[in-house]
Amino acid sequence: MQNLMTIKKNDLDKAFGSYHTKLSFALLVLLSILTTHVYADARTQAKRMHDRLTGVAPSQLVLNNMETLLATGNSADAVDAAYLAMNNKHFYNATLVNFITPWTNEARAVFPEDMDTEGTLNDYTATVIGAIRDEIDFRRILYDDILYVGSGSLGITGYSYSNNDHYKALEALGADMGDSNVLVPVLQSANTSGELSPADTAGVITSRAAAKAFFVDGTNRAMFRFTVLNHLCQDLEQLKDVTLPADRIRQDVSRSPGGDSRIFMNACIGCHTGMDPMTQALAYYNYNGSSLEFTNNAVQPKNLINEDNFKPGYIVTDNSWINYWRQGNNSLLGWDTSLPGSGGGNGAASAMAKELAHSEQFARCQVEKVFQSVCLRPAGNSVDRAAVNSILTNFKLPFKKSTGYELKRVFAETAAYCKGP
Amino acid sequence: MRNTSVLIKFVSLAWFSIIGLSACGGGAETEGNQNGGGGSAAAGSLITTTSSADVIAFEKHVWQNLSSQSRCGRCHAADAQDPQFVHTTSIETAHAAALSFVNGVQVANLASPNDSRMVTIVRNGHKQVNGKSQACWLATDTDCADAIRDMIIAWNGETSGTAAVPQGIQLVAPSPLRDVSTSKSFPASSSAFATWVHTPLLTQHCASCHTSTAASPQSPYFASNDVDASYIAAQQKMDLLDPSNSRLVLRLRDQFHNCWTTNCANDADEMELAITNFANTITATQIDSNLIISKAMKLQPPEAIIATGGERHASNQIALWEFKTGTGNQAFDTSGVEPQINLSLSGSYNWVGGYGVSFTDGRAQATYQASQKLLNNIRTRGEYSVEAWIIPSNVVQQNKNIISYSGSATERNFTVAQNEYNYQFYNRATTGGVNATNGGPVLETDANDEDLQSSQQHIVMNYDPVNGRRIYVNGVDTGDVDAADVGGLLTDWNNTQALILANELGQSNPWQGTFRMVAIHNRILTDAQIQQNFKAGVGEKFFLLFSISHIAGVPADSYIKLQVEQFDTYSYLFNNPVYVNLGNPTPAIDFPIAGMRVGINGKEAIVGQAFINLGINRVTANNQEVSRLGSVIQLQQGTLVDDFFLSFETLGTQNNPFVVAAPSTPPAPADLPAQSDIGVRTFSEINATMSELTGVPTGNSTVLAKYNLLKQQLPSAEGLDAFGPANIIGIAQLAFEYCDRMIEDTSITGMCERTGTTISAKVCMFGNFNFSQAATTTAAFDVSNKTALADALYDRMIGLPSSLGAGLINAPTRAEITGELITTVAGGTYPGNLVSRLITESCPTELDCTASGSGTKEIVKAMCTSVLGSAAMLVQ
Repeated sequence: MQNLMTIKKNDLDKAFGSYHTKLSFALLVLLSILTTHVYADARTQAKRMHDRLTGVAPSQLVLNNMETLLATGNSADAVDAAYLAMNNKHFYNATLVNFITPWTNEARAVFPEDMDTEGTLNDYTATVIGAIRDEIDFRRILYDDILYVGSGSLGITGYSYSNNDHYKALEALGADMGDSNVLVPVLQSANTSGELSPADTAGVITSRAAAKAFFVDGTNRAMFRFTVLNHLCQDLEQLKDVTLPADRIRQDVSRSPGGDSRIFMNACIGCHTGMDPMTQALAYYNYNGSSLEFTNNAVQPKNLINEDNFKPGYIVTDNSWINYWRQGNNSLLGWDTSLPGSGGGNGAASAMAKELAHSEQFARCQVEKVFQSVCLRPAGNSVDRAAVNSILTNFKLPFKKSTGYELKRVFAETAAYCKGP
Repeated sequence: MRNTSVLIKFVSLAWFSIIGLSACGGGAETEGNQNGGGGSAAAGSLITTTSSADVIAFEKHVWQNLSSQSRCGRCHAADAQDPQFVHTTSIETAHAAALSFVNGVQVANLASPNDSRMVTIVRNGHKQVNGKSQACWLATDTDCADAIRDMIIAWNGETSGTAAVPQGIQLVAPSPLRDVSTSKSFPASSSAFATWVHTPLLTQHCASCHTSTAASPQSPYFASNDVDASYIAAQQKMDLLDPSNSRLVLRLRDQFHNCWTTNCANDADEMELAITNFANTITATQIDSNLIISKAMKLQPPEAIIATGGERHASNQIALWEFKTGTGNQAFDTSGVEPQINLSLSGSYNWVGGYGVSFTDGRAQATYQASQKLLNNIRTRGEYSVEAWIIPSNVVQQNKNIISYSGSATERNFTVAQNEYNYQFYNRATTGGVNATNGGPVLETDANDEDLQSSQQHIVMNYDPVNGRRIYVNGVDTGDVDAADVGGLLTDWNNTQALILANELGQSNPWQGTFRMVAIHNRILTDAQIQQNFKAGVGEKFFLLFSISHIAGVPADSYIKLQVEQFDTYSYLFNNPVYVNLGNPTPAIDFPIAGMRVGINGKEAIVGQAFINLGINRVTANNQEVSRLGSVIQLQQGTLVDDFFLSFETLGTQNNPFVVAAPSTPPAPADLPAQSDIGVRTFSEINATMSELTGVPTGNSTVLAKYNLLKQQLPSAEGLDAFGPANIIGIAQLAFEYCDRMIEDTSITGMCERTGTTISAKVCMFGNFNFSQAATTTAAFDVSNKTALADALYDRMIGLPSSLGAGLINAPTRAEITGELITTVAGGTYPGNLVSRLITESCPTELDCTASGSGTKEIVKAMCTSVLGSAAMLVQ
């Protein structure tokens, strides 16, 4: 420890000069005197719950109230204590922004590559924040005609489908997004300059931010892959199934990459069998450099590129889609049997997204993500896994609202679980 | 037309359209191939002023190439054996002989060159010597048969104004029909192979050639010391169901290939017995009796019907490599135009199944003498075309030569190269300026187009003085315009250069990829011809007719026809299934069909099935397309052995739904190693926390500017593992900024929870502490004052005590904090607390510690920063 501190002191000397170094050296000393683990009392548990949920220290009043609730030892009171903490604006402005931002860029970074010009907040993050705050059925974020924008009363530049200025201004304002007078729900279809009808919207998938990140160039497979990655917590590698029908794999996928078909047979096919027929629901969408464009009944050229890579491959002629993962190993993802598992035409993207959102794995993924965010670790043993299962069960049930799938409840119950011994 | 009732001739509409396009091309074809300079096989010419155009074309493409004594002229010349299609004195006689019939088969069938007697008789072995037709001048009878076929194609093409010959593909019902039988598959382990075949025979008798380390390596390397590598290479040479049909046996028994004793029959018997013993260790696969299956087919004539040949435009082709040999270290020029430019293979290369050679670090090189055929045929013409089917291994190779006619890294006649996603075309023309000697300036495809892909591509590089260089990929002009070589001549081409594939002459600059065909023409290919050759494809394709008539509810003489080819070394392509009825057209064809799968060696293939969901559910007409898709199916034992069938979930009146096995419930995941129960706040949380603790809004312009500057220096993840010195420095800087603003900016006000009133952030934190006192231990920092300061910081930022006074029990204690901030350590030589150190060391020099100075504020800021930036704030 002494050596480490010496190194750090040298760094500080270079950075600040001796005066600041003295005070920072004291800071380092303080960093090192954290007490070792002790069993917490209700106040300490309350502090941790508040820290984990909001990212900030609580006020005396809130801490006292949470302490009182936790002191009862009643699990419902612990959940209520969490809801008290979540009244803090930083639950929305800090915790949730950091929670959601990685879903909005390919690097899955909290500091998006275009952060300097675009800011961090965008229509994707704002919509998810609003959905959590208002405790709507969280599954709707993937497929509904839904969008959250800053209130007109804030006096900032209005929402635009072709730039992010609105959210940059909202972010700079620092206004409490937990306040329903600040962040308000609107219909996405009414705010896309006529590009999307209600049926063409698919929640955050058709948000400008998602389009900019995942509909740009390429083949639109990125949108599907990252939606599955972020909302089913499964990368394609985990979903590989080489035994499924290969009839919907497009022409652009070489069946003999570099002259070796083993690569296709052992690797490529495993992902493309399932991914390509699902991605086809997005055949009419493209990001044109500033906004999402939708060409109804006309397949975007990006779906037809490199057609000579394998002429007898599938040719996308419309937006019909099918979920082959309903059979085989990926049936374990728990697909909703009340849904058809295939579709096309009007609302195809939304229907495909609903197929994902209504899976058991979607719900589980949300719980696991919240667990990581609040407990600062994944569920690591049977006790943790039992807690996740319990929270998952409750997630689906109505709580504050009649619909169920209220993610705020997941935050509350997870914070109660990870409040410390 | 063959004399059978079950022949159907297929001529595609596409082909007719090609004829139309080519015919419109005008007289380009009639000028003929000026091969003379390159040296055809026969000396002189028999053409007279009365010779017809067809005779002239015959003379040029067939007679010139075959009339030498070393070829057909030895027997089929004047006053010799009929048919005298290489008659020595009368070209008209030779021409008539070529068009005559022998035993009902036309010697040269212009409508179906591949069925010409002069092709089939050589293909099947004609007066064999040492396992090869006596007159065959190439490595194998197949090579010679293909070459003769191409000569006939060129003859017909020139006469008709198009080089495209409609291959009248005649679908012959397979006979006898075979049931799908039991089969054997190679086990994963090579141990039994090692015991019976590898160790006792292959390593003993074949290792002097068939290993990569041999003095003159001959692939495949089935005698390698590495038994696993040997096992893979040998699998396609062994027939587990009929060991006598194994290539390893046939080469000894029928072709007397390097027998190790003087009795090849005995050696063959020994090899057959070894393979038999190995096969006996493998349990046969029984076909599932519930399957609805077709009859069985093999990818070998006569069951397999050749589906290709003759479609390429080849009138002006002067060199052709099809890489069909599949073994050895030579790739033969089978263009039929002398002299052959045979290529010697060296370095790291492998023959590819379905025709081709792949290179990882090798080359295929001709002698400069043989390469002069290119110069002699092209230089005076002033135009040429390089055509190839290739598969680049990757798209990261930079400036690697694919096909090069060059002398060194600085001198070339032409080069086709790869630069990542781009094709490059170097051409030595008189317009090339200072770079002309090296073929420059290079014409390169636009990087944004990514024309080069790591998949099989047909490429054509055209050069003519009118248009300069043009590059075509998969039949389409890439649109890259040559600004340099328009109007150029090729008169500076150097005759000492050599043709080389996959490398540069004398250099180690290997291209990684596969060649499946390379051709060089001494005229440019027109757009239509390029399209034609692209559509002709590459490799040997067959039609397999899977009989399904035995299924109840299916009409007699019903077949599912698939175009099948060996796709590469590891797979087959089953393409475009079509229902055909080879009997009398059934007036009412109507039966259901669903869930078609390709089976191989007694089992449905697990991977690659593309016909499970068909576009149709009923067959209602002859020649009805069942699917336009293709299935890539894993190769198992090679084309000699692999036995195919089709299965159906529904066919005729039969149903056998495919049942997908329910996945087993996955076991509970293993517990993770013990994990930290705590972490650090991340950047925005730190910022928000400092704001909450000091009362300075995050939107304050000073702290906002500092935060934006430091944002990415602060922790971005909660994990302790990633926390480092840079994070600490960032936190300290931000903490200082917040404390500074809290103390300096009295305009920052807000509701103070401690007092319940709206007051400045400074007063809320420190009450009425007088910052205008001298920074001494008797004034601003007397015991009472400094204790109050430390307590204020502790209560708000660390301990968060309740009204009862109990702080957080996992936070640092009040004593620990005051010990660091204000308590002097007795007996030490150095004051152990921050305030004392600053007063002692900084007041005289760096700080003005008088009552009118800023020293007191600075020291309080230091106390604040130390606490605000501490782990008590950071850790959550």
